[in-house]
Amino acid sequence: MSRIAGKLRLMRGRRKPARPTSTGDRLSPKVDRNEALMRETLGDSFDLTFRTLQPDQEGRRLLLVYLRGAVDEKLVADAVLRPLGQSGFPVGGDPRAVFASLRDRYLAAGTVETTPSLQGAIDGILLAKVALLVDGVPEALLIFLPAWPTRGLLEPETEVNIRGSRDGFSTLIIDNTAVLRRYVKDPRLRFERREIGRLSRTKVVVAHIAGLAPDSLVAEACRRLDKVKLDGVLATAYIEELIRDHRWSPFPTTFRTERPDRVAAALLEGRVAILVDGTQFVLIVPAVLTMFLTTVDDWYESFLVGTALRILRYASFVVSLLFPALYVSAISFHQEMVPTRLAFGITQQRQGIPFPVIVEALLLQLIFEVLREAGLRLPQAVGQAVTIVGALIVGQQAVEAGLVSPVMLIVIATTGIASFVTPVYSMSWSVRLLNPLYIILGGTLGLFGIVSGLVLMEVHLTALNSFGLAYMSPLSPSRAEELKDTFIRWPLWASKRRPKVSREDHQG
Amino acid sequence: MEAAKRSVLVINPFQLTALLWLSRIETASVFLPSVTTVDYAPDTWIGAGIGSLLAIVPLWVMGRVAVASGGLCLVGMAQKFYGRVLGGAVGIFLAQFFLLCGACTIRHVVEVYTGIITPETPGLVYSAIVAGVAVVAAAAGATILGRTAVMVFATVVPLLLLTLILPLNRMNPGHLMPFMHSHLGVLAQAGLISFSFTMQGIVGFMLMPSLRPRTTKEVDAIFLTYAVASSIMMAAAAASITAAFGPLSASLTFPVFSLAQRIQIAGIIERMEILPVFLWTASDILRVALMLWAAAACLAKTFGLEHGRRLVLPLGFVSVVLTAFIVTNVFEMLGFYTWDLWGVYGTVVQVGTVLLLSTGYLLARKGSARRRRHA
Repeated sequence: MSRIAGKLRLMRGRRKPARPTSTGDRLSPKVDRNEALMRETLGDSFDLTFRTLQPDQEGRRLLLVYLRGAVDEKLVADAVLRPLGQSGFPVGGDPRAVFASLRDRYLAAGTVETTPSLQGAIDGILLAKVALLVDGVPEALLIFLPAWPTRGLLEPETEVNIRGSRDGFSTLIIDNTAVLRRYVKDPRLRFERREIGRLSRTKVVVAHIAGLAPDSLVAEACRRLDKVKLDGVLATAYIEELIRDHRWSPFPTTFRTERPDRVAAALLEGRVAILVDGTQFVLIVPAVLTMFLTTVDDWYESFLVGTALRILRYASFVVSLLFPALYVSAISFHQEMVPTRLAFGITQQRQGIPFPVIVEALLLQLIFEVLREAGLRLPQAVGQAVTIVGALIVGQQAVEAGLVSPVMLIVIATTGIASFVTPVYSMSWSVRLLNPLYIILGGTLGLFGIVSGLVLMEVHLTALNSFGLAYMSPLSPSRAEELKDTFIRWPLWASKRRPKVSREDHQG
Repeated sequence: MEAAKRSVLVINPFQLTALLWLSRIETASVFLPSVTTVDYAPDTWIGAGIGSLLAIVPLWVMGRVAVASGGLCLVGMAQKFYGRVLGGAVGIFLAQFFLLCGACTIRHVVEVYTGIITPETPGLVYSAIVAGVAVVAAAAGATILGRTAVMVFATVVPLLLLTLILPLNRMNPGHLMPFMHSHLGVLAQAGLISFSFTMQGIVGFMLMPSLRPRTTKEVDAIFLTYAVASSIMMAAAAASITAAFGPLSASLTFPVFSLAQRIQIAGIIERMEILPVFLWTASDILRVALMLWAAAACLAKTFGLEHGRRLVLPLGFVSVVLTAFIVTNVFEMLGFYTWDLWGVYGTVVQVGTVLLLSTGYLLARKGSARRRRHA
């Protein structure tokens, strides 16, 4: 506790903020005393609201404390203030009876809790609850009336689809659990809540369908989440990096999505979803390689179209990983591989290029990545302009200036476009990280280097696990039944079984 | 987590089969055609096919002994039947044999690349890289080795088929005629080389403790399909080369490579050397990894170490050093694999191991039966 306080002091450059000495600090029966303690602990924040009511002619006070903005003030009026003004509200008498009447009869809210501790009351206020204190009672009522600002269900920007739902997750966790309930109306759907982040105290929910997700998997996910020790969890990525397997691997071993239908499908397969408050991205575990090369559209189109899309995607994946490396290797070492006419054409185009082909490829790849990153970071209209200007003008001028050959420009552009076919951004990054390495291998050792690199990558991929599940399953270890949802998209009417995600099923 | 740790030691029958098949691709597509066509004879492919098929017998016997011994590896069985000292000696001998097989494979990669693709690159670069990648694969353990084998197998087998099928229009079946024209000696020579290559499958018995499930049926299936596949691969490769080149095949150093160079389809697909290069590199790395793993496992078992992972790296170094001394050039390498050198040596070592262990098993069974009667 003192360490956190120390960090706070360092961060804010102020004196140590007043804070109850322990979580067990009891509330005083005197409202004035409690108000003073709360003001001292929470400071003079403009959004902190203290509202004193005195419906009691004997001078007994009621105190409402809440955060404006976090709490719906209209609901406060309807659920708390209006009932207090009702005829028959017990004025005078035993304050404990007043407190009990409020809790059991008068407050028109769904969730009303009681806490005897000051820390509990403060925690409640910070979690968008209204604390109601009654003079003479050393307890507080916590009424849940949240109104966190949210953007609602957004259309997923990173996972665009053609025929599926346009629903994306919201930044508010309660909306997200609700939307999952809408997709899976099964009583076995469970949401196990946690609070992670010593200061941010972010709500994290582990979602699974009891009986479908293996108990060992759910326990493992919870165990890893419980081990997360951070001051703040502001996005899914914070947790992702700490709970994932093989942290040094360039390949993602957790699946991040903002699509509720995708999460619902994963839950139905027996996987576990991890929802984090404040972000629309949800983690799915365990994740296997083939998941990163599928989209929901595969299932929303006919199985023939879905299969064609998948084959196209796998081919694009290979192109985005190896095309420049193969070109460099062919030009540098294996000219005989290139058809004779094409070889003559390339040689002619490369005349006057000052760089070796490997440097040319790496340089163009770098420029392409810079353009792509610029296009992403700039406002959309400007970003598009920069990308177009970069691609057309700079490329054209580079060719005319004799810095790069037109064939190389085509190779890198094709690779770049192919990389956009990879539907998951994190996997696209893995390919972009490995691509230059393969160019170097192809440019220094030829095809031998590329094949050695591929074998090394396969050893690495097969050694990866995601929450106990082999990353390359169902390809290796092979499971014939599940191959129906890998390179091809099997017809729904012929798919009778869900994939097995328990670790016990994938030994060997 | 415990289950995940245990899984590192497990390999399933399909993975072991893939691993063994992969280890044959190199010999089927490089050594055997090279060696058997040195003295041109139109029907060496028959000898090659029959020789491989004959390996079924010792492999079947070994499989029965291994299962009956409770799934022990070769060294484990030797120690059980002959005691720790004699069994340890067998372990050290087998370790050097597997190491030699691995080193020869590395040397082959070096010769292929420095001989016909990039002569300017020092051979040490290739041997170091092949050994390095193989060390990583072997050190990852039996399960990872098996899983990787399945992935590589799925890529390599279609390429092998393409290499043999695409030049069909360049083949002349007349070169294979007259049928059964050669005298028995030629067939026997080709058969002996092929037999000794296929018998290298005994390396698979080093993985026996990790094999799950490990019933007689599974083990029989693994080694029978392996021997049959090896026979088909070797016969097909030798027949393709002979059919494509005829008497000219005797003058080719790497006939399968030359075969791929002759591919020409519709004026678009031509000179597909990339196919055998990909084949050889990928399958050779896995083969070297298997041999290194087996050599390390032999030594670990001999000296009572928990597992041999830590030995894989030093053995990788040793194999690179060995590579430099085995032969000095490609012609010596091909000479090394003739029937009267490797054919005899490989056969004696491998069949000798099978005989030694099966005799030990019979003696041990007889002894225990006698003890039971006395009791």
